[in-house]
Amino acid sequence: MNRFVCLVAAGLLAACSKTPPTPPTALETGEPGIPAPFRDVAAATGLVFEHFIGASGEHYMSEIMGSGVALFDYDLDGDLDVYLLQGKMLGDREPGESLFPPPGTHWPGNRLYRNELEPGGSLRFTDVTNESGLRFPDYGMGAAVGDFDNDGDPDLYLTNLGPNRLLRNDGNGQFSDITPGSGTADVAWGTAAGFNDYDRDGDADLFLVNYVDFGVDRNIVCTSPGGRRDYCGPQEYPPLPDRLFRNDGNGRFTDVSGAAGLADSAGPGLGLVWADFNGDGISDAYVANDGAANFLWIGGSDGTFTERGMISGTAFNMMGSPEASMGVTAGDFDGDGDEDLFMTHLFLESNTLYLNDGKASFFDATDQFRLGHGSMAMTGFGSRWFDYDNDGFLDLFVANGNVKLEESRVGQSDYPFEQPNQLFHNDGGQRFTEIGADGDVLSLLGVSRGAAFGDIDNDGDLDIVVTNNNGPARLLLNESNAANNWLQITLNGSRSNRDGTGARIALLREDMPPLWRRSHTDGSYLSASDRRVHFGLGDWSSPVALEVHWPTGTREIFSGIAPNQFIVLQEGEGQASE
Amino acid sequence: MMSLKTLSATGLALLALAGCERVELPPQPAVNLDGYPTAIHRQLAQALGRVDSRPRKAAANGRAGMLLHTYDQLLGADVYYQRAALLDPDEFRWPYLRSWVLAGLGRTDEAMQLLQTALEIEPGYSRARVRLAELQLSSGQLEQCAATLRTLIAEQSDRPEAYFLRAQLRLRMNDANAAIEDLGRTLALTGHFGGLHHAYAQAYRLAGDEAATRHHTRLAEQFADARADIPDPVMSEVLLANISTTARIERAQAYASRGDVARAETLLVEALEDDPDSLPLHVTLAGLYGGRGDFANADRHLAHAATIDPDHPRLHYSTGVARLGEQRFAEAAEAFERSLELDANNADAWAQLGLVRQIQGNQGQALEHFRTALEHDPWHRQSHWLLGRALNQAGDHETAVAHLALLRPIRDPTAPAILLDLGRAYHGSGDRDTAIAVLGEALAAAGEFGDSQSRAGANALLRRLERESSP
Repeated sequence: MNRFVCLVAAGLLAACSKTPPTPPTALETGEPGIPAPFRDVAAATGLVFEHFIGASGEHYMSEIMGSGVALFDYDLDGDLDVYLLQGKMLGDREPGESLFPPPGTHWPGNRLYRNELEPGGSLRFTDVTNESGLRFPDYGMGAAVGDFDNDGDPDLYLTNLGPNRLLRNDGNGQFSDITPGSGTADVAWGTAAGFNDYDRDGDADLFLVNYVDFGVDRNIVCTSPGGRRDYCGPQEYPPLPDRLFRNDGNGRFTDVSGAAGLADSAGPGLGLVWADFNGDGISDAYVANDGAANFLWIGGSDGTFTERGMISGTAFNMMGSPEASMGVTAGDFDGDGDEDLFMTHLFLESNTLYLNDGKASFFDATDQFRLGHGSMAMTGFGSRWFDYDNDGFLDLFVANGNVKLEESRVGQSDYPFEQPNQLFHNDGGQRFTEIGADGDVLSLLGVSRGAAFGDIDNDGDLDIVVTNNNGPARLLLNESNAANNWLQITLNGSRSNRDGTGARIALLREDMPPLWRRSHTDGSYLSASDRRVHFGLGDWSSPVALEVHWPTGTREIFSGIAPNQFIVLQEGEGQASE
Repeated sequence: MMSLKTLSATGLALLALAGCERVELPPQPAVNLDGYPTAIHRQLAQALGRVDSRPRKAAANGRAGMLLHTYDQLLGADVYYQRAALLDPDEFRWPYLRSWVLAGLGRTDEAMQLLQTALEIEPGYSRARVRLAELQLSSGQLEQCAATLRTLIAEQSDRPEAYFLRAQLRLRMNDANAAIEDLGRTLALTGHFGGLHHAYAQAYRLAGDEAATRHHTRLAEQFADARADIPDPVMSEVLLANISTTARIERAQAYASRGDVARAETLLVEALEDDPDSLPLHVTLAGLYGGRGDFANADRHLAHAATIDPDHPRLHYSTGVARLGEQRFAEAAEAFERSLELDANNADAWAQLGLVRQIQGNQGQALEHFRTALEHDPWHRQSHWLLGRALNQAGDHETAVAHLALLRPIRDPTAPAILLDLGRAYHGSGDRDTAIAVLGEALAAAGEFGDSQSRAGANALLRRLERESSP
């Protein structure tokens, strides 16, 4: 072959970009089993929110990606309020022209619901969006919660399909949009974001994950394997780089993506979790990229990050294949003191559990812990390690919903993307068992996306708020009524950032291995969870000690703490520890 | 001779007997055909119609299952495969294919049972045994998986997938050394592919060998696009039944990459008859025609594609490639630049723009564009090649070696030319022995792929090396 033609031909073959094979979709509602101890009380408690995707028939990619939820105590009254992000009509059409017009009760824009919980009373929510200043005409994606100005109240960073927003909590029930001039403006398609003090200077910095360079003006036509019009995958659009904003401590941030080493790596990012994966006391960040190699950014003492996804074994699954990677969570599920990773994927990929050896070297242990096959028919999004039954072992919840047309259900459903959610019980750190039975809350179908976790009714166990794409938000109230004991801790940093975000806490009991948890709100999918650190204690009812490893490096022990209470630990008031 | 009456009576009796032994079939599922393109709608309607007219014919039910399977109608496929298997229990394809469907539905235990059934009927279909081992492995049934692999290897000791799976099994059993041994066997049978080196990296990570982990991680990235396909004629029949535009483009690309351009063209032209306004089809056809120097046809399809979406980055990229083929370099550069305006991450476009600049004599900009391509895709093969060649021309042979040596394991029609360039780079850098070895490989590849120009070049350089070594 003529060499010149050969070169040109090589280019042409590359031009014919291969459309990724679309695996089949299916619905498997599970076999009869143990009912999940959750009940959906959203409507009954006034949390009435219908997500609107603005379906125009054009199959804009954002229509299928969903929006997140934040659980945070914005008014500092001791209970968790709920902020839900909303989609909108794209292009120049009116909502009424949507294929799925919003219900008559629909309010455009994001909504804030204040929790009116009275001690010992029932749960009730009031929509306070208008008075809070949190109503925006955006196509909302995700929320990050953190006290970036160290004034004691939680602030918000919202990611959008379009310009993001930094919202300062003014402490009077209102928020101010301080994006212009804050240094955090970004107009790309933002997804996950998370606050963490990576440079250990006492204030919370911000990591922003961006997805792909999609726009209504460059919408690509994609089809299902059978040629029906369908949503595109991320491969159809250029991936975007993530950004790191350093908090300058004066209400402003500086984009340090380049200096920190992040700027040159683009990926279709959807999930983010900060954690110290190699135990060196410096925060690392893990970014779940959709259908591409995931990034493990290992933090250095000089404020730079080194990407070690491939070398650590967390870029691809056991077979060396990139997976869809939507939601991600990090936690010490096996009690060995390091943070293991779990992430959710597309159907036919199974979710993946990466087991940490303590040095940020990982092994895909999905099959070993029986987490593979149960997820093969599902497309997972929001997920988190959480101890729903307070037995001391971190369980898993996975919010599911297809992104591709489910061919078998066309004609049977107006919106054939729905799937049930899943709950996996951790059997003593050895394996997981799927919980759920016909007729329980997990068997409800939806196109679930975001999931935020926290003790919404302050009864000691963890509840879940799940967002559904083109559907109602659900509040899954935990009714496990287990006799197990618990403890929930709020950290107050003084040298460290005010929320103590990134601190690690070891719960110490005599003749028992420590339980390690981390203070954080990030992880899952587009969502922010309760910042209180939750410990399930099983039948342990005696006082415990807590060793706090603050983000600035100091360690303190707080002793004699009785179970079954909410406590606040103030940095500097514990006993110094080596 | 029996009378007509007796014959009729006997026939009726036989029919009644057969009726008594009739297996009960699950009812046909409701299949919604709305929204399918006309050709697929027709294909499915015909297949389902055949079952309607002959509901107890196994082949008709099986065919309906295969079509629904290929279009991801898994619930319907499950029922039709089930019906086919009940009607023809001696046919292994139905339980085998149904096992894939059920695995896709998350019903793994049933899928494994069906694979056992398929193997009882047809023990020689080793892909079923491989699949069984895969499912056993991913279910955590390690002992059963080991037994299945033992059987497989005893039957066929040259199945690379058996060794690859056994390596995965051994990794799960924390036996890194045994895994490495099996990966070596796999490599010997298949050559390099990304998953193989990923597994090597895991094994060395398990063994605590950081340097080897790093080495194989790099190779996993380098060979990320390489695959080791497992032959599966039965499943291929399902995949080939898919006549969607996307599937036909994928098949055409596979044919073209194997050099069967005529078959690729036929497939794409057929697809165009069913889907005349498909931008990917027009762009792919333009690429195919441009690649063989038929620029008039390439232009025709590009012009049509432009009427569908004038701002599609792939359209501008393909236009650039066509103009480059026609040696209309200024227009080619303009098209690549437009493509990069719309998608700056496209490594192919950067590489091609670099090639144009090189041809135009702007070596500095060419090198810059090749390097930009590699920033966007560190393993961009064409950029390593073009950059290596450009560096050779610029006299920087050592850096050229670094880029071209990465491509040394590749075996396809470009291999002779790449190896010749690598031989030149080694020669330029003073490594005579390696140059001779690589030129030998270039000659072998030139013979294999019929590249007379590279053969002549390699021979000329070898003669020169001989002259240089003689006193």
